[in-house]
Amino acid sequence: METYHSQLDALGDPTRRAILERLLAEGPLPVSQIASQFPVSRPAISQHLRTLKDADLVTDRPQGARRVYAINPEAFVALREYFDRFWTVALQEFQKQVERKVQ
Amino acid sequence: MTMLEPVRKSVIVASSRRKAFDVFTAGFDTWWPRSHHIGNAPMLAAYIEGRPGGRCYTTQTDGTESDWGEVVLWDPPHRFVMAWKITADWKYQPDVAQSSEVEVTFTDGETVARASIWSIATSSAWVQAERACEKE
Repeated sequence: METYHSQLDALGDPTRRAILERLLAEGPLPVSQIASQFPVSRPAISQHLRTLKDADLVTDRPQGARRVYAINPEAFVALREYFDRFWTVALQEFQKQVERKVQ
Repeated sequence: MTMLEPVRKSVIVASSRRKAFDVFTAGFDTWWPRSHHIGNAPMLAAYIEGRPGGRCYTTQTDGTESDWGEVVLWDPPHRFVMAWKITADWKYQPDVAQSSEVEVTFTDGETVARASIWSIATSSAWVQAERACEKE
């Protein structure tokens, strides 16, 4: 559960969500290229990337003198499964309730 | 990308479509998992007001009410759509255009109804709603 919480926390910011959407759309990018797309400072973008990395939502690797960031697909799959499970449980409760009222 | 596609779920229930629709909406409080709400005190009840523009909200033991959505489409007993009106910082935001959506459709056979749920996850407001719900 802790991982989900840190991931959901990390997603609770519009700039971070925008960064993720950009990485999803364009694939791995260096910090400079990510930062150039946002009206916030590069240190601020680096901080956002650190938060995303701590939550396992992105990974980074060195490429020459710079670091390249990419989406971590496994984390998104896990998050999706979490919502999927939530709706499964909710709909089971719904089904029980409907069928109870019918009898 | 598949990882941000909407979550789609469905369930078949032994009931008429009308009944299924009514229990899902008017009877929302009877089945909604009580751990999931955005109030700051334990939840008392959850409501969906059955009309276009109807409020989706919970009441809490401290006397407060917390809006979390709005009915944007109301077509009983076939379909309804709720906007999840919760922002990145857990606050209620009234603009439907900035919300995620949950669409629920009901179809039927002789004695069974199928409720299909379709929640849009792409804007991550759904993620936000879930996070807010986890607070309690």
